[in-house]
Amino acid sequence: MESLKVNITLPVSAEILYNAWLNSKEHTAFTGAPAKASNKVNGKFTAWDDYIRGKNIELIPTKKIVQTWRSIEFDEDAPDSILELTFEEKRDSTTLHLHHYHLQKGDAKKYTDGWKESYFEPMKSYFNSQKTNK
Amino acid sequence: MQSPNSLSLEPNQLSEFYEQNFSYFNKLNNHWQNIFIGRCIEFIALKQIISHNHKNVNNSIKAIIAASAVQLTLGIDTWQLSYFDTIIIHPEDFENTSNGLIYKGETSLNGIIKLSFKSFINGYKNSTDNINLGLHEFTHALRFNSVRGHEQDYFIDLYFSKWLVSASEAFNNIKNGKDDLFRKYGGTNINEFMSVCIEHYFESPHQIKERYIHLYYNTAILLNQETTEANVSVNVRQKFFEEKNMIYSPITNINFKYNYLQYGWLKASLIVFSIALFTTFKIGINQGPSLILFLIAILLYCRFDYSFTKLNFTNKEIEIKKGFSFFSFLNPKKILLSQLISVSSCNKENNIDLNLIYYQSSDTYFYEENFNFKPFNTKQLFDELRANKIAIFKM
Repeated sequence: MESLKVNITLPVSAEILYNAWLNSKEHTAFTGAPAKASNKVNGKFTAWDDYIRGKNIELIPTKKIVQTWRSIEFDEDAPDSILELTFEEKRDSTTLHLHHYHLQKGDAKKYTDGWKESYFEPMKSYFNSQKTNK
Repeated sequence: MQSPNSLSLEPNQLSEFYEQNFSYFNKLNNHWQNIFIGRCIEFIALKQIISHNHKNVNNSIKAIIAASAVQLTLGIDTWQLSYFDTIIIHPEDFENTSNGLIYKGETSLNGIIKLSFKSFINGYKNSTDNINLGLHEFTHALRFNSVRGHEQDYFIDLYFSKWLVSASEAFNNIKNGKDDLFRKYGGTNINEFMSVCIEHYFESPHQIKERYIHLYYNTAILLNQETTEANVSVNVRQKFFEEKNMIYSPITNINFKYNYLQYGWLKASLIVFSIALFTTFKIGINQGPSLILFLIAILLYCRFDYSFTKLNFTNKEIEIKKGFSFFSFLNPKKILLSQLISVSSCNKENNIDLNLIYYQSSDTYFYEENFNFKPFNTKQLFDELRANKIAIFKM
């Protein structure tokens, strides 16, 4: 089993970030791909046009989200991985610490890149407002 | 043209102003011109439109800024973009103090829109380059208003997932350098793509129709307006749903097998019926408790009967029929496939829950229906729905 840790700091409160992660409209908005989310324990979610799906295991408002997580690339008999998000609020920003574990051997590098490219990049642009400079 | 300071915000003067300065206005019929002017007056009253140094701007600037927002939202019912209360006008492109970059426009999640007036006017001076700063920023505002606002347009809100599915091909093509229709900036992220697409839609809609026909129809339906070189038509959703249905591929019907015991009302009815039988056996049929229990069982069954819904795909239509026995006389609803927004499925051990969201033209509402089926192979159905750009969520 492998795991990965990445984090990102965004200029919003922990409350905004926590709620956005668990809200279908905002999850769709910041990833830019169809998503359905739930803010209830045991609530199921899907993101990135069905590439990802899972279930909420533990929710501590504005502090922590723990979810089961699997992508369509997981072998059918592979167990779910676990995604743990913790929100550290600072004065004008929040650091999102993402810990993804119980990944199959060799998957950590791929999903590290995936989190950065498919989540952190669009989140930066979404939460930093929309600016037209071209 | 009158001097900028002398323009009063009265309908007659605004009408003359827009006739001379805003070509979109001249493409509307009289009815929509009147609505356009009314909305512009309301927009100016609702928003604080100020200069970058917090001074008032003249009425001509307010009128032209309002016109751009109203142009984008003319076909939309809840059009006021209420999440945004302030519009700051910079004379030129401006520097963002936090990162030192030069911007033409900015729409922030804190409810403020900033515009470079020079770039804004250039957007309208050239009506064929598919670049329009006003439409671009107000599209961000429309989207954010839907995500964060308290007064959203329900159609924009619910139809967006369908627009998004039809946008993904063009968006990915830009990102991968395979598209030369939309400007490259649209590849930045999906929100920028939406703004770039809508700028393009107002200036060169036929180009989108030729290359990305689903995206064209969904943009027209989302905004509820059709633009051509000569005319703008508003309230076009029904016409476009019908036209779009013609380009859809038929869906193969599946003989769905319903999992009746997943219906709580039927389960409850059967349980009460069993108790009623037992009670009858013990105390006889003519006794009060037996009769009451039978009556409850019948009422529970009727509730199941009324809530039971059958689903059929018939060529390019979806038939949704209520009623299992007593209520099966109810007429089925027939929905165009183009009005199906999304399908969510949840596979459980002994059944598949299917949830459909669709738009019904007759009353212009969105509906959600749930079905419980015995397990079946969803692959073909979902592949066919995906080919028709219908959002699928596997939970």
